[in-house]
Amino acid sequence: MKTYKPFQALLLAVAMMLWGNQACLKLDPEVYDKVSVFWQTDDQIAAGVAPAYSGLRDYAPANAAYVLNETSTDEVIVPVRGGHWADNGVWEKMWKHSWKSDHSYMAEAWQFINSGIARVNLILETVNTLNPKPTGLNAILSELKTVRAFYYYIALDLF
Amino acid sequence: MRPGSRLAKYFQSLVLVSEILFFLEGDLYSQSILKGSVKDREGEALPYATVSIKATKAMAITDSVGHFSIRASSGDLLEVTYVGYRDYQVVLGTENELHIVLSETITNLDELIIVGYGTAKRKDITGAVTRVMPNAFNTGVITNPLQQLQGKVAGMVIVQPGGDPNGDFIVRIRGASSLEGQPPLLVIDGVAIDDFHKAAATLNPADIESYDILKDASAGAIYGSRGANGVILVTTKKGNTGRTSLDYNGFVGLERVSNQLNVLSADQWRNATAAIGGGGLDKGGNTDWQKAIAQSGISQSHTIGISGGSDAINFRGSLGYITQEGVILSTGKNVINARLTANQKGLNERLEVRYGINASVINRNFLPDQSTTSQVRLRGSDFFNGVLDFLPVLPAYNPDGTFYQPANVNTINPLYPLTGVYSHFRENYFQGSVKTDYEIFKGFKAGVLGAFSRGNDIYDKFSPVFPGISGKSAAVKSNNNKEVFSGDIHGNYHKSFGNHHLDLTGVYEYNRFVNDAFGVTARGFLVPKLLNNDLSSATDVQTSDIFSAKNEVRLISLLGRAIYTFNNRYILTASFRRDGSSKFGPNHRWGNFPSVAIAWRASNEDFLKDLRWLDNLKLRLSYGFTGNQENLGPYASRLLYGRSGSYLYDGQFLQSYTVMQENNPDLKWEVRKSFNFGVDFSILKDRVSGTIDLFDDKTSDLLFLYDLPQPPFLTNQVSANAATAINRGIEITLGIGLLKNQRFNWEVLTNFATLKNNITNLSGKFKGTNLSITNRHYGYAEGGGLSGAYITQLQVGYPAGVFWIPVHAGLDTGGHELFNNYNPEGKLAGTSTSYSDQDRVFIDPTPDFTWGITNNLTYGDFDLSFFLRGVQGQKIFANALMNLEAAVNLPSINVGEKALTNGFADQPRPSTYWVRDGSYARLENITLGYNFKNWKSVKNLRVYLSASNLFILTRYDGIDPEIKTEGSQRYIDRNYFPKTRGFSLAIRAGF
Repeated sequence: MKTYKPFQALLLAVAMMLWGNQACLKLDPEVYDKVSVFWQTDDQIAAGVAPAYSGLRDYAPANAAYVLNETSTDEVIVPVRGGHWADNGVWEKMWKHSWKSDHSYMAEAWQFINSGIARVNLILETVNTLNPKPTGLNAILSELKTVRAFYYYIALDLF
Repeated sequence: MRPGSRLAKYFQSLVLVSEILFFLEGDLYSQSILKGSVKDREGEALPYATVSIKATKAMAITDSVGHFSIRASSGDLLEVTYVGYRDYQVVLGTENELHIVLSETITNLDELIIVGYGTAKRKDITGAVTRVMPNAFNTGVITNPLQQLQGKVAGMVIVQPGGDPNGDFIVRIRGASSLEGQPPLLVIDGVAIDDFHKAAATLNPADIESYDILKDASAGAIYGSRGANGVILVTTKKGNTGRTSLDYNGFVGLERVSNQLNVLSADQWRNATAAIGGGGLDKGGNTDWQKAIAQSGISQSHTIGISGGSDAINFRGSLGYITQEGVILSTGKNVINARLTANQKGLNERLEVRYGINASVINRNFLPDQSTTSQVRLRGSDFFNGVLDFLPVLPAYNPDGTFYQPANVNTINPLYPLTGVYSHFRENYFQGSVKTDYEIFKGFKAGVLGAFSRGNDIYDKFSPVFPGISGKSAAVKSNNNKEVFSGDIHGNYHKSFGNHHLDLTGVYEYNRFVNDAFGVTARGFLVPKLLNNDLSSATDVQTSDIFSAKNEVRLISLLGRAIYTFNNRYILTASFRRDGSSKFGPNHRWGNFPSVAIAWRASNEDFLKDLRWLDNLKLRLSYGFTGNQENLGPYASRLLYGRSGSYLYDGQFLQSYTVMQENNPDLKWEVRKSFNFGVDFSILKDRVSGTIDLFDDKTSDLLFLYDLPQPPFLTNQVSANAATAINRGIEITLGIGLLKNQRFNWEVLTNFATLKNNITNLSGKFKGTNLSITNRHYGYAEGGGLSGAYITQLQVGYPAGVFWIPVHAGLDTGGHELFNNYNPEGKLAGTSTSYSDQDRVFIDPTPDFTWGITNNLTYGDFDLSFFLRGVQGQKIFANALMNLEAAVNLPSINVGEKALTNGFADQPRPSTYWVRDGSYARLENITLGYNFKNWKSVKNLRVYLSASNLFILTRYDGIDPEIKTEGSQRYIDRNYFPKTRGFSLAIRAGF
């Protein structure tokens, strides 16, 4: 039975630590299902520009901007039936024009506008700094600026 | 601990010598040999116990079957002592034979407690550790190990919201660390398990030897990176040396719903709607719908264990089968669990290898809208609201036995989805570990641990089209796999020199977790009998119906601990831990978590040593840091793109991509700084013993999802460290031996704990911008007409989820609710039928204190125990009652009885009217048992009857005051799976 001397054991332990140092302390995980590098191909560029447009879906009926536009007029009213549609008084405040800054549809509508503009600006900045320049860069920039202008139009309308 | 054979031999020779001395002394009175046996209360022999007569200095040691013989004469005072048991004294009469029964002490100073990466004697522990042994476990229909511990440990609150057999429990030690809160870390036989609820579900309660709960930083610091919420160390039963033995543990139980809500019966509904007319809806039925969906749930549990071995190798294997029917139709689970642990020694006893394998398969029948076991902690199940609303005048069954379905309505007979929707969950789990330790030289041991586990969860759902209801049938099949690999290299060195004793431990640990999942939903099946087994026959599948995901997390830790003991009365523990997690940004991957603790065994000091009434007094002080990163996604610090809706391009619909997550390179560890002062004592010969702990914890850099302004940021939320919270309180545990004699024993164990939790700061910085979440709405009242009705907040100065709600000020003459209105200075300005945010007040729903009292009585071979536990000062928002007690909803849906008398003319709005006192005291279980002594060849045969939840004392008029205390809907009572009352008969036998 071999018995290890204390000094040798310590040396062994230290050696193991040093040898294993690189592998033993590596913490970078493998990112399996999320994309962190984008804007590489034409298809990806098209897909990256698209959210400027697809965000406009939230302008459609029953979303916040629509609510602000319609239920504050005589075109649409949402009364309370029994207990239903009381909804914390949001519809009543909308119709009576008695909303305050904490009104949920107010916050949502301006969130829609501001995040839409921010999204377009982000895409503009990203596309402008791509190297090599994407094909049809001018067309993309013009489209994006138009979409952004539309958001500003909604903003001015609702201000 | 039984002394080794060498010691026994020494004592035996002492006996021989003393016998010879007596013979030589030639005592005038004739001394006779007194023979006897020493056993414990369960009839187990106690070998190597010391039997002595002080006056004559005669001494004997009991042999391996507990027999002894000693020279004695009548009138002598005989004393029997044995480590872990109370000293026994008797004045001898003229008998020749004496059979002695020793009873266990409540605390056992030499008992070895498992602490992180090692063991220590109870008397040397410097941290706040509570041990729970099997004789203290809750009994009854126990299908989850957490049920054994509920209410037994001061400062550990276990909540079971409802009686769902497929629901997770909520477990908190000393309050929630972060805003959302996390369960403690579960360590089974030295291997930390990452998924707390799965680990609890795959652990067979019959396999457990003991629990050690580590409550303060000093005890938990050694588990630093995941110990911020406390640590539960589980020790499973192990093999023993000697003959192979078999043991059986089993029970049969029956459970029923313990309480229902008071809704109108059929006749009450008819009377109530006579005035307003509701005849069209009356189909002549007389149904109690809550009763129609309920059943008596039968449960069984059988576990066989086999253990044995020799000095070289010992093992224990167990196979368990548990089945539990829920008290609601078509719910329940069954569990098959197999465990094998083996301990091998070799190479001259210098090498020790420990193996463990655990495999389990769980089949669960879920409620129709349930897809996980965690749902019950956070949301509950919406299914029950439909049941409460359903009209009592509709029959449940048609004359031919099929379910009755009213025509032309959108609501469906609850029995249809309950029995017709196939909602099934299957969990496969396997875990294996190997730990080797080698003694390199005297006092220094080094070793390696490797553990691997794989969990595989499959969810199957099929919801058919029910007669009279429009829609498509839908099938879901999804799969979730988790693989965990952990390994460590550890070393331990201990040395005593004179009065000093030093113990050093060093560990390097590596953990890798890989999660992958996929799933499909499809609609429109022609043949419902096939369920989801032929997805290709679907007629409707969208791109949003398929998903898959995969991620990984890595944790690396380095830790070291030193324990220094001086003169057996001063103990110093210092530990340091450095952890890195792959979840964090490159700036702050690693965190440092030191801790220090000192303990003083005051009762060993000269000035206290001779106090006859004081057995043990120890004072402890500790301060330490623990870290947390559990409630973060695996890639939380990175900039990530993800798909965001489709767009039309060149005539095709394609996926667009946008930034889904801002990168946060400063994301780092959440740190909990804990301070603990504790006193352990036992007095009056261990008749009274207990522990008092005071703790004051502060958590900073709390991880939470914060709102971001857009622009300049790309997303409207980000995970960031930016809040602080405090948790402080007192924990008192007391054990009192009220009565102790040969035949009758009565002991009382109590625990009491307070907890005060407060958010002290809710702001911070993210990339230079100030982050704050003031006015963050947290929990909402739910139900018809209540969208957006926020009622709880995250607010500085209050616990997370504090109620923020307008004050009810009575009803006006028309039956409309009045609310207090306050002016901006906070003074009452009047009442009106409307309110705004400044009229809301803060009400703290958290309990003032929690308590538990266990009474254990033994009379001969009978034992009786009952356990009362309670919560005081808790407040509940009775959401379900608010939905029901609205007469305005008649006649189309059912209402609560109080709706007819409360005078509300419209749908009630959330106000303090619905904030109710949720304090309660529950008789958790009462058990009557009988121990058979050597019945045939069966050793340790014990039969016992239990009843659980026999009664509850509370003012709360909802279903049950034990509601969820976690998540954004905490303290809001709705979607409640009824609580159960159970009776069971259990047998435990050893062969």
